Amino acid sequence: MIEAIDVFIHISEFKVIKDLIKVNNISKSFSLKTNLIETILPNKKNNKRIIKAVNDVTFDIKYGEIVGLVGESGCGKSTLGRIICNILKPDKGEISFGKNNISLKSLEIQMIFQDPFNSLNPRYRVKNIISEAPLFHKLVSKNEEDEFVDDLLNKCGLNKEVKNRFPHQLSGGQRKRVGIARALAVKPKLLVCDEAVAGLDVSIQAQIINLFFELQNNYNLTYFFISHDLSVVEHISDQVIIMYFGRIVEMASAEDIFKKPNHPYTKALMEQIPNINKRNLSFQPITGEMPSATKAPRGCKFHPRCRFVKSICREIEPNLIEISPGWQSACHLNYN
Amino acid sequence: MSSLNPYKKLWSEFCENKIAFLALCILLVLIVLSLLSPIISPQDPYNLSEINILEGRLPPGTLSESGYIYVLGTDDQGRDMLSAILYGLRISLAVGVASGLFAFILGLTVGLFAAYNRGIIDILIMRFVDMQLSFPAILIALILLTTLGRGTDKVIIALIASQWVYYARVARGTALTELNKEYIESALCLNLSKFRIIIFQLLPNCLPPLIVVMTIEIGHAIALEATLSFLGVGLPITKPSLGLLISNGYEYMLYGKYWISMFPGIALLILILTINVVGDHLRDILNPRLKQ
Amino acid sequence: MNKNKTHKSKLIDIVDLNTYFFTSDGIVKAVNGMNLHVSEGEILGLVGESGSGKTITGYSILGLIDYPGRIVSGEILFKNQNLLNLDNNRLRHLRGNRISMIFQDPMMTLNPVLRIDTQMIDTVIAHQKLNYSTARKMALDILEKLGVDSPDHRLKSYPHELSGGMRQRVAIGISLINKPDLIIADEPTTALDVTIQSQIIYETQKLCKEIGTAIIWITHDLAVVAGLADRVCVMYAGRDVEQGNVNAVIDNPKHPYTKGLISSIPANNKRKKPLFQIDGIPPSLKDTDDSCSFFNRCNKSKIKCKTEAINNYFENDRSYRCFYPYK
Repeated sequence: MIEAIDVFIHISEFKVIKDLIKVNNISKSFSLKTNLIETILPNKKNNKRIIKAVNDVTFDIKYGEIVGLVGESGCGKSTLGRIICNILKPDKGEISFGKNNISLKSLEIQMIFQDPFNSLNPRYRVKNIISEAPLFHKLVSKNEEDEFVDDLLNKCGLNKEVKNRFPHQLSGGQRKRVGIARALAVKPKLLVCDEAVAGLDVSIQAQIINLFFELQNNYNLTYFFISHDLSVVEHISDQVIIMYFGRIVEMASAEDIFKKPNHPYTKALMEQIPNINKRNLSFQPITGEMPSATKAPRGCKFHPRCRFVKSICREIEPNLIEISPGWQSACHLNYN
Repeated sequence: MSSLNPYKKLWSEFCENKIAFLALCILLVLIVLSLLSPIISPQDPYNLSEINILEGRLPPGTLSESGYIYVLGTDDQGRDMLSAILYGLRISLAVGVASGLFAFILGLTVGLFAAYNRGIIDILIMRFVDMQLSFPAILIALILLTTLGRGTDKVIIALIASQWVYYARVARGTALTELNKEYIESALCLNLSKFRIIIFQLLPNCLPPLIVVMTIEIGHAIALEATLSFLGVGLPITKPSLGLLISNGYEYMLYGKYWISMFPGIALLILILTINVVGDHLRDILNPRLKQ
Repeated sequence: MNKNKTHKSKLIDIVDLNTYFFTSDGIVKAVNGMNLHVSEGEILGLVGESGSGKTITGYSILGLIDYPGRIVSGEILFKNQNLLNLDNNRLRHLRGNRISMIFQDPMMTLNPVLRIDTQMIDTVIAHQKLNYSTARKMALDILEKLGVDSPDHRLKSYPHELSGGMRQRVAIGISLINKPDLIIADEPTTALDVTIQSQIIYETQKLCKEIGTAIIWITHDLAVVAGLADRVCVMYAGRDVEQGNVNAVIDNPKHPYTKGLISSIPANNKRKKPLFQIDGIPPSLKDTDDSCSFFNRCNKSKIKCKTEAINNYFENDRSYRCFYPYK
């Protein structure tokens, strides 16, 4: 299901506007099979048990770009991230990557995880966490191992002496850095950061974000940055994708979308972000919550919470259409 | 962020409880005694030339003809009780540990296999495990022994077969929790082989709760084997375990010759009790740490 | 250096609080000379990063410090009564009644095996002599005010049947139902989505203004504090390093740590450029003494900062702990 497609090829290696990864119509559902009978006799009519985590998502990421994916918990962003990294297989759709038939199983897409506690094996020393995969794939030999690990730790802002420590002996920020070093060890081209700076202290968050910038320059990396923190996404992204209930609702360049958001959900999100320069607010928050995955509303999935809702929104789901070059939005208000 | 070795920390936590520490010491003494039994016991109870049947059923403290004192008396065959108990301890421990170890390996393998594969395989395996768990272990062991017959190896097989399910259940549960953690996802992302993920990443993290199960289950195995031997379907007479010794002396209890049953009984009691106390305490201190 | 008295009376005044944890690895000085005060009906934002001691301060107020921790010295004056001198019985009378707490994880407040109405009504009946139906009506009322839809149905549910946001609302309801004088909110919205967060902040703020409850809102997010609080207190390594009116502190920070925090926020940096960062990591709480704990990360520090004890300087209803503050 994985084909190699190369879209624009320029002769000069540097000014290449090349798609690194193209995601086409990806969908993924999970079924809540809870007992033996349902497993043996799957009932296709039993729609209540099927959660469509990701629903027909299409986008692409160009070389050297930072694409931010924003959404709240339950919108499917983590699932999408894992599909791209080949941790989960999509039910429908295709992903094409790079130019020379590189399958998704390659090491060129790596993930940085959110939870610093659970993303490192508690039984492994830092040295082994970083060197296990390169040794296994024969990217580095046993005698080069020490030097290799030292070099990576240094590039990620860690002291060589953490090499022999266990994860529980490190701070949260240090563990994050080890996770980054582990991903870098296999020389990836695309880094998928799943809430990589969430839960970090502000001062550590700044250090890690700066590290991401530095690594991008040194290693020519491309990032797919999944986050619920709009202020971070605004700062680092070139392109921004907003997801709601498994679908893309808006997609545009970061400058465009933050200056003048189009989709009502994007507008609501922007208004909700606490901003240090807005004092003594009487918040006017958006009402309601994202609906539970098993109770999808008809029509536009956002309509129960939308303050601009019209009758068509309740019936027909809007398509994601281009409202101006490079800007897509899925809202009926755009058509008429 | 202490730099203490996690095992050293475990040890110091363990030693905080004086009773558990005492139990561990006694257990170690019993193990050493049983290992050294050929050397330290005054008599080899299975060597017929050393036994004098005329010296049977003598009370504790009697002087024997050969010059040493029967510290715990003799049984009906004239065997020195102390020697018999030491040898019996050895057998009981050997059988218990051997069956525990193999049950552990079997249960761990099946549990990990079920957890990693999920789906129908997992469901079928676990339903079988549940079914077996609903029968008492002694019943399963008895049924197996009647079909397999007598012999040390058959007893060990029966013990393994009745015990592996406890390990499988815990192994599967722990493996499922660990498989949801992100370091496993990272290993998948890094394209490590399935074998490597299960053996190097998953297995070491599933071990702590299983070690606890093992200590307690070895205690059960020893008790189970003693029961089987007491009933006469366990180990052969040529290898008298503590259970058989108790069984032999049972009829003499009413005649006041208590020592033939009681001393092996006390030895068995202390053995199982210390194993249980150590295992219990291990479980207690490991539990909150698992939640960290 | 004189404290200016505000015309609002001080509801709670923490003076030189020290809470230490006596572990086998050494003495951890979680709270090391903390000062804080909140007036009636005021919202104070207590800001600090992990390990700064903000949660332990909150627990100390309510007397929730357990072995191996102990409040070693200091005063916590609540309505002119020193909470540290009260016996357990009288503290219990205050907790949940005059002072309550909201935790980051609502499941720390909620019992998973009891229904919501049982838990809320229990809270009322424990402190007030009311009958069941009156208490239930109070619970219904407060859930409505907190924006819980179909409150009657929710009351009959169990915690696991509610979403994270709903559970937190119920937890807030439980803490407000006895109309306390003070609420300590320990990162209540950190684990929630942005839209739910602003809903809860809005509802809590509205309800507290209605009842007249003061709030100590503990968070690491300065932006939340900016929108919500009247005053802010910044904590570092176990004590307050700057305190004052929120506009004054954020627009014109005096302490280098506060200034550093504000500068590292993405919104205050140019897009796509590296963020301002405070180098280094927070100090271990085992080696802190009376001198400035921020000195090894500060770009303005001098010898005096490392050797001399630093106390609060006062200026116009603000306080800060620095020998060389920004002007």
